[in-house]
Amino acid sequence: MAQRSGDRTPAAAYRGVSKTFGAVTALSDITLTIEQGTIHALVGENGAGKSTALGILAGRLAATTGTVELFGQRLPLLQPRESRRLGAAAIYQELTIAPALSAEANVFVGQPMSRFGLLSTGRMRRRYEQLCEQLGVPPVPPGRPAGGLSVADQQLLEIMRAMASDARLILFDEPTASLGMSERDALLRLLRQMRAEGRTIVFVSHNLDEVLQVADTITVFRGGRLVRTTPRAEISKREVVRSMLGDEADLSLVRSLQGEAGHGVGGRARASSPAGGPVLGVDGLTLPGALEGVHFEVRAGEILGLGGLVGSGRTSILRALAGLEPRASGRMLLRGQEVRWPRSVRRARSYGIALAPEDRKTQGLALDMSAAVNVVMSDLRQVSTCGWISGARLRARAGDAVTPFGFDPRRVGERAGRLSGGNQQKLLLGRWKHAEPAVLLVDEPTRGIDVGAKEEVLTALEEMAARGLAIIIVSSELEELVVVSDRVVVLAEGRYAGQLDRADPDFSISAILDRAFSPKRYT
Amino acid sequence: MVEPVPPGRSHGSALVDAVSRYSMVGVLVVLVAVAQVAVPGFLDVGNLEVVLVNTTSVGLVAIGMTFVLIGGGFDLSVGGIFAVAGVLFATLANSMPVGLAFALMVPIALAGGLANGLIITRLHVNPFVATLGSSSIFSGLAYLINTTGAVTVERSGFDYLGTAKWWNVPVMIWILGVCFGIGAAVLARTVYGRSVYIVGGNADAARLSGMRVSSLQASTYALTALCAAIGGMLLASQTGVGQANVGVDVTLNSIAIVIIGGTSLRGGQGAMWRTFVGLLIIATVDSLFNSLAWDAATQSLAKGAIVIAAVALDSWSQRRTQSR
Repeated sequence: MAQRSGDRTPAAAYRGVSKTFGAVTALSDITLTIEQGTIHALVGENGAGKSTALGILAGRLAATTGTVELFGQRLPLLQPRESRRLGAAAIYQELTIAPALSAEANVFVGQPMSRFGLLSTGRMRRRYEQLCEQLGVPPVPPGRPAGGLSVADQQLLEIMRAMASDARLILFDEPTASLGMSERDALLRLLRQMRAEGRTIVFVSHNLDEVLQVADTITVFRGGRLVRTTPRAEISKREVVRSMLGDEADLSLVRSLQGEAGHGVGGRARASSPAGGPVLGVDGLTLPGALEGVHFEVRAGEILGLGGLVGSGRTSILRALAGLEPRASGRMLLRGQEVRWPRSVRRARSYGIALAPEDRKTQGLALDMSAAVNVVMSDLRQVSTCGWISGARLRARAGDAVTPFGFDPRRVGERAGRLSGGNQQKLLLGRWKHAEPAVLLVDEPTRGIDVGAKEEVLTALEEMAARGLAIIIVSSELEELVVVSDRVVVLAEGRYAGQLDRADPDFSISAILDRAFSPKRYT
Repeated sequence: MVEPVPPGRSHGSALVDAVSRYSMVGVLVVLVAVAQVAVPGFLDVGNLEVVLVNTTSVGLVAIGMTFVLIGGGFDLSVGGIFAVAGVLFATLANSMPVGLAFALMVPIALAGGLANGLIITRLHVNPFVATLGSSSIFSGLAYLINTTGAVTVERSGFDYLGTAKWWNVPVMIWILGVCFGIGAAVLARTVYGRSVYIVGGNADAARLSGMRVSSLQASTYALTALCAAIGGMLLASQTGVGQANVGVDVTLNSIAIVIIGGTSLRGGQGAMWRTFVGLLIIATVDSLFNSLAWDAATQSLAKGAIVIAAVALDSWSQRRTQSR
């Protein structure tokens, strides 16, 4: 595309675009131009309108008013194919993986390599391996059904799908949300490489560091409106956060998480809570193909972080503890008593172990039901007498459970599916406040939720721990682990790779990474 | 900090929501009006009684079907159970008191439905296939028991439930009303009912919350089998004979009633009052067809088209809410 500079049609342009969903206005009169060959970041809190803006470009959502152009051509409403034809490819926050197809087939969905109608399997395999190499990740097994892969690997497949296409405009919704450090760095490198090739990238991200690192232009949304569009060089992190939250926001709340100068990890130093006796001890936890001989223990009132790279087995540990892995084996000590390893969720629950899963929409919530039901479903007996449910008690108990997380109790009657990601996460945590377990397993509690909600969720976890709950948390955001954990157990390739205590002088992200990358030295 | 309510909430959509929520009630009102115009005397008490009594047996099946569909399942075996229950009830009634025969049928029906449920939840057989297969087994059993075409019953009192009246209202209608009342209360107000919704809405989430997902799902099949069996026995009582060939339309009709009322095939959504509205719609349509003297073939065509249209409408409105 040898075009003279100055004569470039923009890659994409919104002209007075609004979008309403029923009565809710998601986007209000957006006018925005995205220049070719740039990396353009869309940021804002949950519900600010970023993902909607992206969806309209992809042709997945129809603008209620206004028009959208791609490379100078007007995009007809709701025509994903047309959007593709004009050169845009989208990678959504919700994965669009076909679970039964192989990993490789998923990468080439919609754009198979073929000759005379026959699939060119050899060429596709070579291209697949090449893509893995470009991403700097060990090849995802190409023949494995994608449904059996981890969420992170599935996300990688989506990214590879966009790379494999000849799209000139690539739309990313939270591309790094489920990636570990190394994949994340590789992806950011790749974004720059794509830009160098002349492609345009629009991406939505909650990770401001990443945005500031890679974007050329930053557009901030708030409450469905476009607040500002600014070249990266002309804006500081503090200004971005202030634009996102508005003037009334209490910046001290978010400062620590944002790592603003002088308020790094230590800014939120959490007093070492007076941990009680060991609640759960695990020894020799083995899961064929995922974990080998992992050991750790967690005490009452303690938050134990599980650190490690993607694929190190963090989520497998939570699943095994929650009774979701029938092939798991190992010794489990429950308050010092040896018990059989739980191979069903009900057995794990009878031990007092509960999981707040990573995938809120598919494993966590009944999206068509009210927020209140989603909270009290962990124990309906508490809101019933002789099997009869009292609607008033149901709403009251649900309200009590979620209020500490900053969820407006007046909204418990709303459909869970209509709430923002942050509020959905609060429902999941509220569920285990309603029926208090002894050990709470939390998988990626802040994935894809906004800065303010993140802070509320972490604070709520700390409060739950302070009341004697033992919490095991998995997060790809290592900074978050360091902020919130009393202790971090590091894993590498399914094995125990060391442990860090809050009291240790080198309790830091780099110490976790050291152990994750070179496990031998610490075991 | 509480996340702000999304901006721009207006009142217009509350109206839209209400219209789509109660649209089937509107359809019913229109149909009844059409019926009253086309068939003078449709709204007479005597005619309404006949219309309701004619749909009571299939209406009972629809009550159970509501539980199965909300629980995220599907049951094609109700026609088979309906038939075998009528035949078996008639056979038993020839050799023992009617009340005892009726009571004996309850555990038999529950066992049949539980078999469906266990095949689906424990052997992980797709519910369509499992109940299609068991339907064939049940109706095969009906023909095995009844080799002569119809089981006639000599014992007096066999036709009591199907023909007697209490306070001038047929017992059939009393039974239908009471069953709908119980079904509605259980579904909307009990832990069991709410659990069925949750399991149908998201089985994974229910499992992780510590619910007995498999047992709950299996129980909905047992409940449906019981409802289908009661429906079959009432029909036998009404006609005075047990016949193996009566279940043919029951499966489609009962599913049609539930779906037309607005309970979703996707599970987790629906209500018992919707099934009642669906029943009244189907009853009115049937009655209208009969008054217009349409033959069975035409009626069958029309009813099939109505069912497909109702499911398409459901699926369309699902897509609409999902794109929100």
